[in-house]
Amino acid sequence: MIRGGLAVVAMVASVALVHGASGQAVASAPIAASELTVVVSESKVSAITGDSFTFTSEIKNAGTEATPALIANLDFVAIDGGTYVDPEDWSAERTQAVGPIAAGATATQTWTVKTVLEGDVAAYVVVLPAPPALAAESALAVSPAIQMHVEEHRALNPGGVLPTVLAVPVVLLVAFGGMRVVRRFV
Amino acid sequence: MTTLAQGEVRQESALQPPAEAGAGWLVIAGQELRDIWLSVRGPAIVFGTSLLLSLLTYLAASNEELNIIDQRDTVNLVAQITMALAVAVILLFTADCLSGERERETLESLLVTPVPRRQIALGKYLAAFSLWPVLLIVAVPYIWVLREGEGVFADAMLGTLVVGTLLVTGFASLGLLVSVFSGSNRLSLAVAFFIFVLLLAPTQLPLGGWFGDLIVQINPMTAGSTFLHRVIVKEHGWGEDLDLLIAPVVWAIAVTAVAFIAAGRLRLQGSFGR
Amino acid sequence: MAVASLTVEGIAKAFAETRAVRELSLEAAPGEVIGLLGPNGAGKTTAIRVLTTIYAPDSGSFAVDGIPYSRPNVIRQRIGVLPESAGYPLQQSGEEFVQYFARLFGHSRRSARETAETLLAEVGLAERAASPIATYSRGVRQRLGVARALVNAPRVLFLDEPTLGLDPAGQRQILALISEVARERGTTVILSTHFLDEVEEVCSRVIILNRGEVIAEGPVADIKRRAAPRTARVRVPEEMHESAVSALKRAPGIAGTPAINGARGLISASLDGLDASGKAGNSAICALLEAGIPIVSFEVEGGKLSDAFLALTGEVGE
Repeated sequence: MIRGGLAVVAMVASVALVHGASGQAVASAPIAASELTVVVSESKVSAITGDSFTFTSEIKNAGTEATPALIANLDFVAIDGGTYVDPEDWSAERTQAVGPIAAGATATQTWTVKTVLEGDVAAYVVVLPAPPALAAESALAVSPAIQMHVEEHRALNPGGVLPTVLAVPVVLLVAFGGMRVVRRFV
Repeated sequence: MTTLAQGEVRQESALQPPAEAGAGWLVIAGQELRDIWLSVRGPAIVFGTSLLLSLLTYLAASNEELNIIDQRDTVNLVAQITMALAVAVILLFTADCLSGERERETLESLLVTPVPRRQIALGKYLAAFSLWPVLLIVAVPYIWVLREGEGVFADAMLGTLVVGTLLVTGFASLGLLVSVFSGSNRLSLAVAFFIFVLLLAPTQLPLGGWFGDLIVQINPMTAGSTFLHRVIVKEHGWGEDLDLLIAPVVWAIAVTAVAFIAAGRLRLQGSFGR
Repeated sequence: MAVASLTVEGIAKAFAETRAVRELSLEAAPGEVIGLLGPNGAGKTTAIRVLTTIYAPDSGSFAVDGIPYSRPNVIRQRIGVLPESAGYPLQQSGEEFVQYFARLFGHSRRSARETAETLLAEVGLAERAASPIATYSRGVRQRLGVARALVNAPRVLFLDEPTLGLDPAGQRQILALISEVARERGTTVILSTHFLDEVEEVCSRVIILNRGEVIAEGPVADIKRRAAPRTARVRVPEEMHESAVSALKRAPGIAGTPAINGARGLISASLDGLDASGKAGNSAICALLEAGIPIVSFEVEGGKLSDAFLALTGEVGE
């Protein structure tokens, strides 16, 4: 009860401070677990190495006050226990800034993922308040995981280099071999 | 005078003593070039390099396609490997050029010709150096196929040419210098290659702090490698990191000067390691 | 009078504590073949390397064709050298090899080709000229080396152990070549060897080195006479030994007192070293016959260069 009272006082104080600056009502209190929900547009993806796909995430503010500015972060985890996952390889942009979401409103983000290695990897979006002080006390909002099953696909001609990597040694071999033959007969 | 006069009369024109010896270095370079390029040695090195670059390019392109490595990084990788390989090979060639003659007992015949010692060294040096432009040309198609835009290709080729030429000049001279004094070919190759590895190793290490920065600046290999990386990958302008070219330039000039001064003192026996 | 093609005055060369050559002097005229003789380690190769400008002398001086040793590049233009341990580039053919050296001495491409063709024919390698040196035997390589040493029509030719490792036929070929070069071209030849037969066959003069020092020098015949006088060994009946000694003492051309080698009943008598005609031997036989002494056997020994060599160096030459 005391905690709830203090939370209300803090909320009122921060509303008073911020209201004039932003021109809208922004929550400056830690986010409670029930306030935000995150959903994603995909649940299961089957792909081969080198594929890329996009999906969207929606953050809904189920609370009664607007949220503070938020950060949405895309993370990856190997669920087969063997695949090494370096998030930088799977997505170039893994952090997006989301503005305050009004009560009852929704914000949508678009994400691009490249399936670089074979294996079973889960992707999920985590949302937390941008201000560090609030982030420390807020509950994280997490989307359901997108289960990616990636199979290996060997591109025979990655980047179109195959003709060159084959042709150069062959041309050299023929050239030098030809020189030796000509010398022998001249 | 009878025998001499008779001998002179009998001599055919082809057996007259020749005029003063001219550009001996040119004759020596010509012979050495034939030895390198008309035998197996030169072609084998070039072919081996192309195989290595083919493998490297294919792997790099695969990784690039998987977004594990950036396109500019792949170009930089091929350029750096080409440069390092050329330096190593040419260093070994020049380290063998005089100590090898000593060991094969062919040096004495060369020393009793009227070709000055420095010209002997110059001819052999130039022949070994001929590997550099050939290896650079071999790298062209690989860098071309990896580039995504003309700017990368031009930067990579020009950068490799400039930095590579400076490094090859210096290391070729290092090999020559060791070869002048080494009594044993094995020792000559070992000493030259050891120095090369010593200078190459820091390019593979994470160098930080004041000491790391100092190493990067004064070591010609790290300085040259870093310059090339910044031009190709970081897209720096050519004027931005010119201080990194100081070490390779000083290296090229200083070692070459010392090597050719020392070559004037070329002796039948080496000074160390018989 | 021909100007000396090689003049050497007191050259010396030392390596660390070892004095490899001490005070070597000589003068050689065009067309002369001078033998440089000595056991292993005598300093022959060092002497040659000084004279061919490989080593600088520690003291003394020399000149080739009047050109002082202070101008080594000019001297090299006028000398030909076949080093003792001459290696060859095995992948080259004989003609490529000789052409290459001809060009190093200043021949044009065409001139180098012609010179190589001529020289290889002279040394008997015309048919093998296009083959790789790797296929040449040692004797063939030595001939190739002689051809190479002649590309610049040298005034002085230095040959260091040119017949080493060759069979007798190969040795004869090289020696014949050397004689011909000296005779036909007027080239001075300095032949370093420890094969005494070679020296006797082709050299007009010999210099014997031992431990870096010249211990004998002069015409071969003089060296033989001075260092190893001939000895007559006579076997007569034992009871007539004293009579035989008396008779020999009185014979002209006998030097000193004949000695009796009691163990085998032989009498040794030194023949006059100055007697080049062999008459001392005849007069010894006549003296014995006139004294009524039957001669069981009569041999003349010594007067060989090998004996002289042994006497002078205390070592056995080949």
